[in-house]
Amino acid sequence: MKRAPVHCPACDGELVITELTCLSCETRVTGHYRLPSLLRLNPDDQRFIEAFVRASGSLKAMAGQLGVSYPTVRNRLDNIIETLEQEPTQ
Amino acid sequence: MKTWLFRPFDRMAGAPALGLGLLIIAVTALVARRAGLHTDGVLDLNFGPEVALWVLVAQGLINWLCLSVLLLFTGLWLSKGRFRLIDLIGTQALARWPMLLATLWYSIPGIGQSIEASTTRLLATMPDQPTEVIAPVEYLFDAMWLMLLSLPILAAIVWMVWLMYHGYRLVTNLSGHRAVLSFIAALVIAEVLSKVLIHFLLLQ
Repeated sequence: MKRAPVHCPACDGELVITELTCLSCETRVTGHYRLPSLLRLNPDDQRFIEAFVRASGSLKAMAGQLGVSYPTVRNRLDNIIETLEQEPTQ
Repeated sequence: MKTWLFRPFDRMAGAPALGLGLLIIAVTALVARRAGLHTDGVLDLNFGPEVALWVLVAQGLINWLCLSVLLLFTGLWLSKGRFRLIDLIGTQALARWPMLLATLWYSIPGIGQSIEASTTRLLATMPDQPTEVIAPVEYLFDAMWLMLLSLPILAAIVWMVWLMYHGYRLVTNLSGHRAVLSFIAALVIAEVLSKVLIHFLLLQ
């Protein structure tokens, strides 16, 4: 499946969802819907969050899987938290 | 390889770093005793009188703990995120491994003796009055030779300081001026504190 773009390729601005389609009856809903904050993270950070959830939230387990130290993983998570906190509230 | 030399704590911290670091502190003391050296300060490596092995091990532990405790305080004060104590003390213990290389360099037959002899000769020529000047040409060879032999030790100490800084920055997730200035302040205070503690607790 293609990766959904989250930034405008022309001006790098934020992209929003303007149309949703039901796959069964093809009903279309239009409007302006912001992407969830996790989807607005860059792909690397999204993969990190997915791995974090799959590791049941254990940074120690993740550090073992990635072959890096605990503080390296901890810092990555702290930086993602900081990015999410800087996001404007909806 | 570059990561393991200059950014080892990206890969290793916590208990493994602490265990290896303590082993390195003990081995450094052992090598220092054989070479007649003292690590009587966080950044110091000097010739000194023969002492028991436990005194040299205690010197290493005091040096490590002085800096670790001060970095813990600055980290708790400045860091926004949480960090584990074991990561801080582990990385600071392992960061001392270039000091082992420096003591090994001193203990190479001929090197230590040559450094000690050149230092003694140069110190003997120091004038009584600070305003007097040492005859520069006569002792130039000794000074150059001493500088050349001391270069690997200087490089090892610079490398050790970099590793200490890298460990502190990584564990506390600090960056920029806050990381640099707080590290320098902690290092300077730790150097003075460790020298005072070693002098009064171990060498008196």
